[in-house]
Amino acid sequence: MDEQSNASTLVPEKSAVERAIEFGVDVTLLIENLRYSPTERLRRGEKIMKSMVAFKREVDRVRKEQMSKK
Amino acid sequence: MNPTDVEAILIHLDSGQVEFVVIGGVAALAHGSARVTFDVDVCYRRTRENVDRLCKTLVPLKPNLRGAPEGLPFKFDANTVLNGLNFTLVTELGDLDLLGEVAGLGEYDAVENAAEVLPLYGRSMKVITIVGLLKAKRAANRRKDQEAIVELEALLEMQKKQK
Repeated sequence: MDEQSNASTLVPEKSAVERAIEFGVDVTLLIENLRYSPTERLRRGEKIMKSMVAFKREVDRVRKEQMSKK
Repeated sequence: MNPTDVEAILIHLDSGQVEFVVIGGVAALAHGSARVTFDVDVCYRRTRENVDRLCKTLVPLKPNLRGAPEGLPFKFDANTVLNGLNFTLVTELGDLDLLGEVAGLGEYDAVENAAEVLPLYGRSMKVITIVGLLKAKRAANRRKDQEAIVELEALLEMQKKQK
């Protein structure tokens, strides 16, 4: 084993949570979600999805309104 | 675009005694993912009996091929399903993807083996495990799944620590 590979075995491997944080995943959202039951998680997700769709509709409506004024 | 009613679709399929496993984004959400999904993905058993139940259950929801040109004839019946495999549908309750097989896992039996029963909406439903989801996403090897894979690995680790 050369010096470099010997040194790499001494470095503790990063945990999956650490890797996720490095990747940019907001793990606080995961911690929060794990407090809920599977049904509650789906209902919360659905609520967010519905509000995103409503938001997009509103953006589209405003854009259309602005275009018609031009 | 109408938001998909995840709860109504899953209860509808379960009430119709369709054999299915919840996969994809909804399964990830049930396991604690923070990624929002806009459709329901399920893997269905491709026996004649189950496909008959699937069609009988879904026809009242007026399923049509998502993104298909208007007026394109599409009849959702057992022959259509058995002659095809995967269907991306739009229904009165929202978007529903039916998969006869899942990349990295295989057909229904393999997907069922990679599933667990979760209490959902006061019922017991089969949902693919995080390990199963990881297998499928790694096999699909899509760029858009990279973040989902990292998130699922973190969730798996967190759930193991919780137990």
